[in-house]
Amino acid sequence: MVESQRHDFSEDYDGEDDGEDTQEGKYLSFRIGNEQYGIEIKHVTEIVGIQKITEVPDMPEYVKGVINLRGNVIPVVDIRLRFRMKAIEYDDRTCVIVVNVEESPIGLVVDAVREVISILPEQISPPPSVARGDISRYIKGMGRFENDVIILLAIDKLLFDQRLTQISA
Amino acid sequence: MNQNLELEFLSVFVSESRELIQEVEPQLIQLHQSALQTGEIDSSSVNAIFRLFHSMKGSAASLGLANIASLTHRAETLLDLIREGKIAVENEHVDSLLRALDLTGLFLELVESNHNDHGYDDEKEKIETELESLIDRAENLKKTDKKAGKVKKTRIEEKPPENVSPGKAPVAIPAFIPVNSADPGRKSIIEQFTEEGSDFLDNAEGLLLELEKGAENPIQKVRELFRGFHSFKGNCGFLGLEMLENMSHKAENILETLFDYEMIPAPEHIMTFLIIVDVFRHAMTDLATGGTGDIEGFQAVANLLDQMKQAVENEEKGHKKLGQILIEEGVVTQEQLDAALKRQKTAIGEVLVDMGAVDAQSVEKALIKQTEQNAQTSSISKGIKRSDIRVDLTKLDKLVNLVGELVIAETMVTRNPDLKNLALENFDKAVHHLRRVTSELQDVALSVRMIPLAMTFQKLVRVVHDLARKQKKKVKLIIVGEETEVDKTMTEQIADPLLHMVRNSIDHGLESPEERVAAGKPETGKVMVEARYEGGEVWIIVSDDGKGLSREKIVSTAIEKGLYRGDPANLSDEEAYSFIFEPGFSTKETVSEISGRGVGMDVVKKNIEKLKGRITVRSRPGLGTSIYLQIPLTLAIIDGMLVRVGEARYTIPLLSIRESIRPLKTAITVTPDQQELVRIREELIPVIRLHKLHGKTPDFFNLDEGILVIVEDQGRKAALFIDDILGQQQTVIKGLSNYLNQAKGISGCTILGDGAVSLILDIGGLVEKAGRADRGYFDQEAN
Repeated sequence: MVESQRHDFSEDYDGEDDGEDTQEGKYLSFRIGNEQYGIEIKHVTEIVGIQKITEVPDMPEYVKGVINLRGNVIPVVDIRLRFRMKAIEYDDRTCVIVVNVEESPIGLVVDAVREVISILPEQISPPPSVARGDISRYIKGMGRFENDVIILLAIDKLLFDQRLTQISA
Repeated sequence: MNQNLELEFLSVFVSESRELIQEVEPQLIQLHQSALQTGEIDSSSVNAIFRLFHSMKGSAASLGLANIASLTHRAETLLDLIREGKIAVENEHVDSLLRALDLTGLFLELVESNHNDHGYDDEKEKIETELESLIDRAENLKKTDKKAGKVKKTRIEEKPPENVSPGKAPVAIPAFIPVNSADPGRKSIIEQFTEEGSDFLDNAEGLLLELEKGAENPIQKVRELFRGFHSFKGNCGFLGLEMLENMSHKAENILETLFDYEMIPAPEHIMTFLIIVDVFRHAMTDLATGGTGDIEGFQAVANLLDQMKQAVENEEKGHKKLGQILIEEGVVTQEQLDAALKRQKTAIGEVLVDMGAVDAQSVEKALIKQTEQNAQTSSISKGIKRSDIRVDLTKLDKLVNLVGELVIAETMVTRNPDLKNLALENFDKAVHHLRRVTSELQDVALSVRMIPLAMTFQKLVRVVHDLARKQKKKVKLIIVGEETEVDKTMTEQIADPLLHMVRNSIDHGLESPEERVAAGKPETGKVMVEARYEGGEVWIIVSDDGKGLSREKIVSTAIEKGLYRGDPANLSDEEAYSFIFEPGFSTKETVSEISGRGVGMDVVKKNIEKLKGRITVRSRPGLGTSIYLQIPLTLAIIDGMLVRVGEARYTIPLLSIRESIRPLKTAITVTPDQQELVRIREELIPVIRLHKLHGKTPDFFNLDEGILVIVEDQGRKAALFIDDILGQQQTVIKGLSNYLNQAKGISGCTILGDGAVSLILDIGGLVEKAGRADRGYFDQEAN
């Protein structure tokens, strides 16, 4: 992990005005535990620091609650818990990536946001067929970027898959 | 009264005319340009322009606006010549017509401010002379043409009009423009017309039904009807819908006669009018869907109308005009009457009728008053200005949302923690002002999207009327709270459910008169439709005093249909009744047996779910059934009480709160299954420990240390156990994301002054849970 490449997205989000066509093949990479993940940049609307989360009752564990995003109340999902990993304390690296999936904004809590990277289709391998559990179903592919392997997530499936919701609920 | 009415007429005239001018101005220009380019005249736009002047002339004349009438008359004459293909469109024509339009606009301004059109004499003179000379020239041209047997060539038209290619030839102009013509202007006019027309028809229906019931002041109602048909006729004429125009003209005539002779229409006449309203409504639908508005049944209606006219005229002979009575009794002279009648024609009318009820002096006084009217009216405020615009709903939504944001932002500023403990006199004043403005803005923004339920409810009157007749049942429809305003989309979504529910009430709920009498009930059944605000919701309740639902039959049918597998004894009544909303629950063989509800009831459920509402059914055998629709207001701002449980802050709608107490230990009773009850006066109320329900760590575990907030929903109470009350504030309700739709006991959320999110408790849901507390529901839930 190259620390100098780390970008504070919450600071310069406003400057990012890439057109639709230039978003193709671009991914936002983030870290959970020791692994790097990526989601397509077209889903991402903004990145904010962790803030006070209001818990909502009767929710699966990974739905942490709701936050106030400039007057819009949006739900936040902890990706760590979504993958049934161990919960950790939130710190100043913890970020909320706000994505827009199926017309509704949802915040994703990740350990740290890294950078926007371009991954060409030929650099993406299909997900391993022998991944453990269902989690491979939410993997779009494995991207190779420089010396890292980035797990590219199918965010819509991850958030809206009814099966997993029921399992954890 | 008269004055107000006249102002009303004038204001309608002004706003309609303005709209017409706006529609037609571009058409006139377009017409000219296309004539220049192709040398042909687009017959449909000429027709439209012609009609504008024609209908304006008519209205102006009837309102006594002589200047507008004479100006538009000349313009109309000129256009008529163009329309008939007698002359070609020339620059001069278009220029003059545009100037005429401009001047009409100026006159309209005068009408608006002074309530008359006196002024601009020079300009009027000039334009009229201009138009006059153009008309003369055209007439002369026509004559010479005839004599010479050839057509004079004009600058822009190379071909003689007789040979203009068919299609666009102005020679044989159809009586009206086909509605589906590609002209977008016309389309939007049609759209508006059908919308207004439908409104009028709804209104007319309501009036007729009131008349049938023997409403107070029937003459007034007749006059309203007359006025409605009159303006409807005008619109039809403007659009060239001859059939409709004809029909409404006939109806108008009858109503006029009725009104003139102060006759109350007989029931059979009201029936006929209702039929007419129906036929017209079909025509509106036809028009709206691109048809021509000519529909079957017109001839039958025409015959009905003619018959009725005959009947009314026969009756009328028995009546004397009021004016004649006045003369006969010597209270007014013929001259006075004539003068009055003349005024009646030019100005608004029925001065004599209203005043005549008093005495001759008053009549004279009224006449004098009227002569002085111009002077007077100008001093009356400009209150007649009326302006409606159509706005895209999405824009309104955005506005409403932004206002919500503003309210939150305001709280964030004025309750900013940085300001704590500071004495800021000027700041506080400014805050006060800001709060007043935002709250007013809030009210306005919210009201923009809200419309009263009256229209939706009015439609039911007719349904009940027809159905009762068909079923030979006696039904009284009671409407309560029709002034309740709800979001526009809601009125659309609940129209069908209401229809189905009312239909079901009459069809299956109410018994026949004989059965009712046998059961010791009054012969006439009651169906009540009620709307009211309750908490952050609108409640719409449809109830009847019929035979009620049969639980056994519903449950057995549900089991039969495989909707329920289990012991029927486990079902609460409410759960059992809810089967009637299952699609396909009602089939022909079950309908009549299980007092039928279920016809179209799945529509009710579907639509109410779309609105995120709840349906509750209550029924008592032999006494009747009530169906409650509880629908949240889309974005409402409510008064809320902010309470604290440990770290968490919840908002409780103030309307649901009855009282807050700190209970004595002795007031608490614990049932064997660990449900706590608090005794308040003579009532035992189940306690809900919010911290348990939501998994929080509270400050207090003992009920006598914290606070119990007694809440009530639909007469059921619960005591919410909290740590502390933090205060009251205006709360902008924000919906929880669809992603979280499983959240129970939460109706939404709001943003607090410090930016944190507070959940709004769904009292209905909580109380419902508390109601089942005796089954140990809570402990299961909380653990």
